Amino acid sequence: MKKNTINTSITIAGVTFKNPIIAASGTFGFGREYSKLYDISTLGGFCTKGLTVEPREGNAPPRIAETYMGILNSVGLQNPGIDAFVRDELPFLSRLDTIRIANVAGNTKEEYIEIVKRVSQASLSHCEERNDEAISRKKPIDMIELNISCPNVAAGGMSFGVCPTSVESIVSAVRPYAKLPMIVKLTPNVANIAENARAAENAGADAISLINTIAGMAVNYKTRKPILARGFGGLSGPAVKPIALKMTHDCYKAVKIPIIGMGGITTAEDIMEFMLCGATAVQIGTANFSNPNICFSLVKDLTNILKECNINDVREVIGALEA
Amino acid sequence: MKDIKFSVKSNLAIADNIFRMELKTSAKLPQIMCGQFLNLEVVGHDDLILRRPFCICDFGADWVSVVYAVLGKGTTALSKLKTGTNINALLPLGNGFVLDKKYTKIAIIGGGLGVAPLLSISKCYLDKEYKKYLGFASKKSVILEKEFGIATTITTDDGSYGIKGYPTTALENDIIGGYKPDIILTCGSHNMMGAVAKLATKYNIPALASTEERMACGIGACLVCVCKVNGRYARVCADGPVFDIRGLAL
Repeated sequence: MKKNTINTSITIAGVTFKNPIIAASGTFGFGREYSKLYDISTLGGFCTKGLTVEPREGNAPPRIAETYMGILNSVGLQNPGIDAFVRDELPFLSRLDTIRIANVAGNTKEEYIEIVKRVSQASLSHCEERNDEAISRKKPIDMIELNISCPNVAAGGMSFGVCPTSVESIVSAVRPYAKLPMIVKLTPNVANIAENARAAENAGADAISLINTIAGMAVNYKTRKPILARGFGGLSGPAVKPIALKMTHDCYKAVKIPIIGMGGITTAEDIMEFMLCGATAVQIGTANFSNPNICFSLVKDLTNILKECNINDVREVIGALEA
Repeated sequence: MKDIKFSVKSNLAIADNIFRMELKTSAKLPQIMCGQFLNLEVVGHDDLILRRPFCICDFGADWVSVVYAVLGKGTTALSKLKTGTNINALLPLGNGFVLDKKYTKIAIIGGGLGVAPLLSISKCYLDKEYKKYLGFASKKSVILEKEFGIATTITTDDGSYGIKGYPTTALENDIIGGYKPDIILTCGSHNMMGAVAKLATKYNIPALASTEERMACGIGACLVCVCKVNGRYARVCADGPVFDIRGLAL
């Protein structure tokens, strides 16, 4: 058998990922659940559920509706808050050999600053507390993903991410407090996402990720009511993939910082398409629900598809779309 | 838990609009506890993104069965699956009916499709005394009567089969007659479980109830399937689906 010499590793803001496959925030908890199914250290990385300073109860159920080739969710950032996260989850995260990205959110600029500060501190102090050199070099959190794109909360969330001016303002406000590389997660519910990408870049984002979910509704004509308790939610899944691909491509043309693409990715072919459109890495969200082992499988599938295409280094694919 | 490849062994209507699907596998099944559930792939329908969570109705060394009502696109598609179709299921999920050793007299009370997760309780706990009360809308919706076996009281809302009325009334009548179960295990509509909660309080009997909610991951990661337990959101899939009935908002 021919020796496998295909490189799948990629680098974003100085952080090296084994492969470009990252589990998306909100679909992967804090990694614990999926780690019972497979070794999640085989993944490039994963994003935690959105974290806020205070615990959040989230929205009333039903929080999910299935639509054609997609789902609408309205979880509303339910999370245990930063203190419980540090106490209960950091020890687990510190044992993983994969890139751990803390997704963070807030209602106000002050809350965004606070959560970014607290996550940075928690990650850095966690390794200072350890004397062992091997562990101390490894932070339990490698990166921050600034969620200014959640459509499912009444305050904060997406409201910071819609106008380029507010994107620039929130990103530059939190930037000095982020002691870890910072990804800014963008919403597709905007006039021109490339302008928002540029605003994030100008304000000091190390990378951008897109797309968060597209605002949408599902209705039960018999009860004459929306299916989701909150009335609407965010659409994800294969239904949004063409939109996400175009937005990835639009952003790639607009910024120099790396892009993490997502939206309906289910197969290694989808990953190739996003990377051709300019994504350095991708996130897998909704597909985890269809197949709980999907991220694990995609790592192998991606290597196989690169082999089939005679590509020795996955980085060759990034932005290689031809006109 | 494990994502296991099964093949459809049988998939037949057992009552009006209600099907029973038996799945067999050559893989090693993890240990299953009564009241746990599985998350079933809807084979051949790429447009349906989510798996379908069903309680494990019954199981053996190399098989499981689920009982489902045909309600939407997913269950319609499942009802058309032919014998031999390959289908993946993630299982076993959630916390089932975990019983303290001190309970010996068990009252089982189920309504409609809610009788399904109660069937395998007596298989998991062999050394208990059971009385079973199963309520259905009418004769044509009665399921699993034979499987529940002896000491089973059937009620129907319209009196077309068994005793006319509700299973909770049948249980209460027995309690008034001197029957004192150590614990009640239940699953059914919110109304029925609400009536069970009242009985449990009135006669000071502990009770466990199996709940359901719209679900996605099935393993506790996505926080979609929450319900209020003691006033706070709990995940039906990972913290439940079986909860102490006193904590539920019924």
